[in-house]
Amino acid sequence: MTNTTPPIPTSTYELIPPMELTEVAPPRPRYWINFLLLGCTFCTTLLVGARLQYNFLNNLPAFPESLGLPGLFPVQWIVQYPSRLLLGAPFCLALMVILLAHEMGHYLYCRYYGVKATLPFFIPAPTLIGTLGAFIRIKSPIRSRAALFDIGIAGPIAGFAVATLTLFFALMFSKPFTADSGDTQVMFGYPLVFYLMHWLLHQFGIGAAQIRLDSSYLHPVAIAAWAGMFATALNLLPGGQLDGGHIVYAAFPRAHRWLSRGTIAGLVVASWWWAGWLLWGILLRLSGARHPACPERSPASLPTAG
Amino acid sequence: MLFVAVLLLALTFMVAPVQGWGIRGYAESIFGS
Repeated sequence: MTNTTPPIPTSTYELIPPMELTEVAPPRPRYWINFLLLGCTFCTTLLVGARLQYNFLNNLPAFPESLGLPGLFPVQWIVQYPSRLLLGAPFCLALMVILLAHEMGHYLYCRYYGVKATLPFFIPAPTLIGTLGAFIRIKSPIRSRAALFDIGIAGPIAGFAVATLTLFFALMFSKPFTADSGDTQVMFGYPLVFYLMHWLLHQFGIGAAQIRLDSSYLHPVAIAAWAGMFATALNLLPGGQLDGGHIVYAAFPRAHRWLSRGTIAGLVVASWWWAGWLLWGILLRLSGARHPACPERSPASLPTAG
Repeated sequence: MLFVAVLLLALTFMVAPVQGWGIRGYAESIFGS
């Protein structure tokens, strides 16, 4: 008789030959994109800032009705006299520094917690302020809710601090309406911090704080501070992938979903007073309840700093 | 720190960042105030 049973391999080595492992280097960060977008946003905010400064110096509203919508993003006006661009420097620098402070707050805390993140991407856009803001991308999981909380709140705190300081000085240089100021198509609403800062300056009798906030020309740098405050509020809305959504998830993971829905409902209601909230509500709904990868069960106070 | 987040939101939030650009304004222009 012959033995028909095949020999049993003595180890898995015979079945699975060793694989050749090659170390793949992670893709190199493409910093040129960050700097290209930074440069473009610098140009668009300079453009808008030039018109704001010109209007301010000539006692015109920030966004005069006579200019119409094209006047809000005055490319033609700059092409006629390119040197006008220099007028936009105060607004441009103030706004860029505020936005950069916000993003670097996130970025530096990512570094602190050993989370991989990109440098800020600025978004140039033909809007009232020449940009749609900036963002960073988180490229690795966040190890704890404590880290998520700190990374989420660091940006708004940093942006708010710089915007408040900017506002303090800018309100000093704002000035009262004149009789021939003309109509405007954009009337700003002011957040509470504007009234507090105005009140504070008024108490010390400083600069233009003697006049009412709603009857004064805001200096373009104050408009940059206003944009910074708006960006802070928008990011702190408690829902979705906004900074506020991350903070809520870090503090109360199970409340994140319904709080996001509540925020969307609140934005729909608020659109009665400003239609833009409806757009933000839709964007928040579309972005869903996703958030950066983070273990739900990690305690919020777990120390994770490396 | 959660308190700080709520405080910042309260200090910076505007119901109408740009006045008169709400659905209310459009409704009033169509139906009257």
